[in-house]
Amino acid sequence: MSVSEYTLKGIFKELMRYKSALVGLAILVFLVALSLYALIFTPYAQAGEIWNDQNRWLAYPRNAAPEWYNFFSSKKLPPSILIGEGLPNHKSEEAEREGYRVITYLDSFTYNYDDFPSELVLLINTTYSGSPPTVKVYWIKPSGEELNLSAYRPRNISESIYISNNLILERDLEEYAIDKLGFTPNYTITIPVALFMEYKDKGEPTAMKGNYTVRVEVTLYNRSDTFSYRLLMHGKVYGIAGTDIYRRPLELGLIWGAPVALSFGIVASVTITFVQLIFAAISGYYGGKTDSLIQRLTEIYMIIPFVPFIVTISILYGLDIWRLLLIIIVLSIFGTSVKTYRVWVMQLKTSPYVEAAIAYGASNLRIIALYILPRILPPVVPSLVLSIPSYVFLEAALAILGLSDPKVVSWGRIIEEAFAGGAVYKGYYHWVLIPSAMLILTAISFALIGLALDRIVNPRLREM
Amino acid sequence: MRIPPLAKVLIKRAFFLFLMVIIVTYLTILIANAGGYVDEIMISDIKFNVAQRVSANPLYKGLSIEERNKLIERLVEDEIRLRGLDKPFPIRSLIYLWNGLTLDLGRSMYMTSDTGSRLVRLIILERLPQTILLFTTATVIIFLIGLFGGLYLSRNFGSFLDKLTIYLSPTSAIPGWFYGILLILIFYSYLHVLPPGGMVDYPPPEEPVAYFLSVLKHMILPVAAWVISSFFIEIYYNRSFFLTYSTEDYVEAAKAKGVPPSQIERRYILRPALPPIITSFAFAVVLSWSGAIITETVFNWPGLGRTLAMAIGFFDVPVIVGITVVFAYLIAATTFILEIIYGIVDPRIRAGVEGI
Amino acid sequence: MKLLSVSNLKLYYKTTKGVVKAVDDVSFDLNKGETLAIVGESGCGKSSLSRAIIRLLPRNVHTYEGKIMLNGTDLMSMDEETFRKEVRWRKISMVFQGALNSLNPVLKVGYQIAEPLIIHMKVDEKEAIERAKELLVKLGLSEEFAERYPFELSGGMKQRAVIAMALITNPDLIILDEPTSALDVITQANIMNMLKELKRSRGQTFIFITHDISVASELADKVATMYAGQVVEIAPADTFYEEPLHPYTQKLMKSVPTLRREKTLESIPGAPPNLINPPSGCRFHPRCDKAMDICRKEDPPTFERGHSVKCWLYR
Repeated sequence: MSVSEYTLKGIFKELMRYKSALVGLAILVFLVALSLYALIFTPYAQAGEIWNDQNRWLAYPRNAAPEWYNFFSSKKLPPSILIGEGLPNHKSEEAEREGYRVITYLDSFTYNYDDFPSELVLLINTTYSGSPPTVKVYWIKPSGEELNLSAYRPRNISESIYISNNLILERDLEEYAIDKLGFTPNYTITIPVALFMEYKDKGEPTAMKGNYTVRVEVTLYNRSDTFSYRLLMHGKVYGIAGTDIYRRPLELGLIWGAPVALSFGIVASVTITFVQLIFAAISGYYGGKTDSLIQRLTEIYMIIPFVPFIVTISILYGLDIWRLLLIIIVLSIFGTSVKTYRVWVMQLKTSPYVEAAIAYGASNLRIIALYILPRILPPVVPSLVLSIPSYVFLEAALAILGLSDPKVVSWGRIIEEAFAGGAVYKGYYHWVLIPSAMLILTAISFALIGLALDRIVNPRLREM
Repeated sequence: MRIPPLAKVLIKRAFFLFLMVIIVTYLTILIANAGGYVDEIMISDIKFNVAQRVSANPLYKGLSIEERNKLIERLVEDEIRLRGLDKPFPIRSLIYLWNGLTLDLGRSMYMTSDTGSRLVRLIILERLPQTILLFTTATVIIFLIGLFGGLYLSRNFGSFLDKLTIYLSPTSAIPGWFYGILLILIFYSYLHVLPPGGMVDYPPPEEPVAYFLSVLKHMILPVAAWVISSFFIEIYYNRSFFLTYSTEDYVEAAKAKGVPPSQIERRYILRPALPPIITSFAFAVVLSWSGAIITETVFNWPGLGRTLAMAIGFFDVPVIVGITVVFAYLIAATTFILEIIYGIVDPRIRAGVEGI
Repeated sequence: MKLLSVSNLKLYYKTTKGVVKAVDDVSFDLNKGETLAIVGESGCGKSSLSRAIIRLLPRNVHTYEGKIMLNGTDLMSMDEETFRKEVRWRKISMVFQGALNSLNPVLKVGYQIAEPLIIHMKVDEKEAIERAKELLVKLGLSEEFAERYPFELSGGMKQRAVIAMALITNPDLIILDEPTSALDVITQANIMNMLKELKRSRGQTFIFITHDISVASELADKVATMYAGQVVEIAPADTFYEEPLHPYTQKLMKSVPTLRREKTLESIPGAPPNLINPPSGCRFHPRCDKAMDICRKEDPPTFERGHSVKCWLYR
C-alpha cells in the first residue's frame, strides 16, 4: 500500500460521481439539518432535564404508535382527539335552576377509526368560592344511545380527571355493554371500549363510526364561579415516531439524539485519527528512541481490553458524556493504525519532495506539517469516515448497558429505556425500532460515503 | 546448545507480551484504586478469612459477641500489617499487581459462581468457556465465509455478485449485537421460533446429545447476528486483499510457467497471504471477546461479557477488575499464539529477521 | 530454420479512458539460434508484445488476434489447457521485467526453479531439485542457494535464479523482458556474458526486449524497433547500428552516447504517442523531421529495402 497521489479536493470531486456516496451524503445532510434544528429551535441545553421530567408530558398519549402506522394497518388507530372550550363544535347554554347557574355544554366530533382511544381525561379549569361545581358528563353515541359518565367535583383550579380510570364507572359500563350484546365477550371492556364499541355478534371489538356528542352539565354554586373544560381522548397513534411509556413523544427524542450521535462519532473519529497521525509522523520521521517508545506504547495498547476498560472506568467514575468521549479518545490514540501510518511516513520521508525540502533547509516541523501530513491524509480519509459509525454505536452500546450520561438524550438511551420499559414483551416495537432506525441510518450514511472513498483511494481495485 | 532463531524471536516476544500484561494490569489497578476500590477488595477479603477462622476455632467458642468482634478486628489489623497493606500506595499497588498477575482476584461483593463460591477467579473461570465457545464459533464462521467468498470474488472480478457485495457492504457498519436485537424481535417476538436468549433450554436436557442440540439452538441467533454484520465487509476486504495478492509479479510468472490454476491459487496467492490472514483472524477473535459484553447482555448468554454487565449492575468491583485483568491475559495469550503461527508460516521470521 | 513466425498480431486493452492499442498488427520471423532484440521507448508496447506471444493476457483484454506459428504449430488456435500443458515453459519461457518480484517469497528458490520440471516433465521432486542445483552452478551460483528463500538473495543472484528457471526445461524460445534494467552495471555485464554463453553453447533462441540499445547490441542478431504499438523497422544487428533506415531508429541512435567517438547527442522532440488515440497516418509523423504530406494521411505499409522498414520514405 503506497501513498496515493490524490489530493483531498480531487477525492471529493471524484466522490460526487458515485451514486452510493450521494445517497450517503443526502442522509448526512438530513441528519445535520436535524441536529441544527435541535440546537437552534429547541431548548437543547435543557434537553436532559426536560426529558427526565415526567410531569411535562401529561397531554400526550402513552405508548402511542407513529401516525403512519395506519397506512399499513387494516385496523385504523385513532389519534388524540381534543374537544371543548375554544375548539370547534363547542356550544354552551346557560340556564338557572334552583338559584344556581347551570351551564350545558355540547361538543360533537366525528369518529371514523376502528380502534379505541387509550384514555379519557377531563381537563377542568375553574375558580370557585365555597362549594366546587358539580360536573355531570353524558356520552351520546352515533346510534343515539346516551351513557351517563357520572358526576365529578373538581377541587383545584386546574384539574385533570381520568374518567377512564374510574373503576366503578367501568364496571357499570361493562354490565351495560354485556346487556346490549346479549353475551359476555372474550375481550375486556374498558371504558374507552364501552364508549365507542359496536355491538357485534362475534369477533374483535370495533368502534362505532359516526358523530359522537358529549353533553356536560355544570352546576356553579356561586355567581362569581368560572368554569371551562376540555375533554382529551388519548389516541393510539401520535406524531412521526409515537410515544413511550412515559408519554414522551419520541420524535423529540430522535431530534435531540441527532446532535449527540453526530458529534460523538465525528469528534471521536477525527480526534483519534489526527492524534494517531501526529504520533505516527513523529515516530516515523524522527525515528530513534521516540520511535521505539511510541512503538512500545502501541503494543501495550493492543493488549488493553478496550471495552472492559471503558466499562470499568465508566462505572467507577460516573462519567458525563464529554469525559466519556475523552476517555475513549485516550484509550485509542496509540491504536494499531499508528503502525500503518508510520510506515507511510517513512516511505514519504525518502521521497524526492521531502529530500528537496530538507536540502533547502526547511524545519522538521514544516516538513511534517506541509509535506508529509497532507500526503498521508487521502488514504486515511476513508477509514476515518468508516470508523464514525463504530463510535456512534459505542455510545449507544454504553447507553444500553445503562452507563450513559443521564443528562444527555441519545438514541441509545431511548433504546435502553425501551428495554427497561418492556417494549419487547409488550409489543411496543416502535419504541425500539425507530431509534434503531436512526442509528442504522447514521451508520449507513457514513458507510456509503466511506466505502466510496475507499474505492477512490485504491484505484488499483477500481479498474484492472 | 544452539537455539534456533525462531525460538529466540518467540522468547523475546513472550517476554515483551508478559511485560505488557504487567503494565495493563497495573493500569487497571491504578484506575480501580484511584477510588480506593482495590483496597476495599483486599480488606473485605481479609475480614472474611479472619471471621471464618475465628468462628471455626473451638478456642474462641466461649467468647461474647463484643469480645469476638474485638478479636477479629485485632487479627484483621495484624493481617493487614503482615501483608504490607498498611504501607503507602506505591507499595500496596505492587502487592495488588502481584495478586492480579497470579489471578488471585479476591472475593466478589455480591455475585457467586454456580457452585456457590464467591471467589472471583472461580466465577470468571466458570463463565469464560461460554464466551469462548460463542465468539470463536462466530469468528471462525465469518472468517471462512470471508476467505472463500473473497477468493471467489477475486477470481470473478466485476461480476454481478461482486457488485452486489460492494453495494451491500454498508450493512456491516451496524454491529452484530444490534442485528441481534432486531433478530430477537423478528424470530422470537414476532415469529416465536427461536429462543430470545440464554444458552440452554430450561430445564436443561439430561441427555448429552439433547443438551448439545439445545445449546446449538441458542447459538443460532447470536452467531447469525454477527455473521450478518460482518458478512459483506469481510468478503469485500478479502476480495480486495486477494486481488492485490493475485496481481503480484510472481503470480504472473507462475501462470507463464504453466502452473495449473488450482496450484497457483494455493501456493502463489494463498500461501504468501497467510501471515496477514492469520493476523487479522487472531485480532478478530480477540476483538470479538472483548466486545462480547453487549452481545451477551442482549442474548442473556452466560459468558464473561454478561458477567461483566451484571457486575456493573451490582457495582461488584472485584469482579469488574478481575474480568478486565483476565481479558488482558487473553489478548496477550492470543497474540502470542498468533506470533508462533506467524513464525512457522513466514520464512522470514523463521530466519530471525526482525521488524517484519 | 524458422522457429517463430508472428503475423498480424494484435493486442488491445479496455480501459475507462478507451481502448489501448498496445500491439497493433505486428509481424516478424525468428530463426532457430537467433536473438531478436526489440527496442523502443517506455510505453511503446514491447512488454505487451511479449505478453501476447506467451499469452499472459490481462483481465481487460479487448482484442487478441493474429497468427503465432511456433515450429509449424499455430499457437493462437490452442485452447488454454493445451497451451498450458504443451507450450508454457516447454516451448516458450520468459524472464520477466522486474524479476526481483518474480519469485514467490514463501517458496524455496530451488523448488521454484525445479517446478516446471515437476509439472510438465513429471520429474520426481528430488531429482528435479538436483537438476536445478546443477543449473545454478552452471550459471555461477553456489548450489546451497537452492535451499534458500528469495529474500536471502541479492538482485543479481535472483536474476540468475530466474534465468535458471527459464532454462531448465530447455525451451525452444526464451523471452527476456528487460532482464537487466534493475541491476547495476557490473551485474548487468555478468548477466549479458552468461546469456551470450548460453547462446553460443546451446544455440538458444532469444527474444530480448529492452529500452537500452547498447545492451541489446551485445546479444542481438536482429533488432526490431517498436513505436506506438507497431514494429517500424527490423534489421540485422550490424545494419541496425550502422545504417538504420527509419527516422525514429536514426534518432534513437543519435541519442545514445558512445564511448570512443565524439558525438553530439540529440533528443527526440515531442512526447510518446497516446496508444488510445494514436496520431493519424504514420504514428511517428508529429515528431519526424522528414515527415511528408502522405505521412500525415496514411499509415505506411512495410517495405523491403534489404530489410523491413515501415516508412513512406522508402516507397
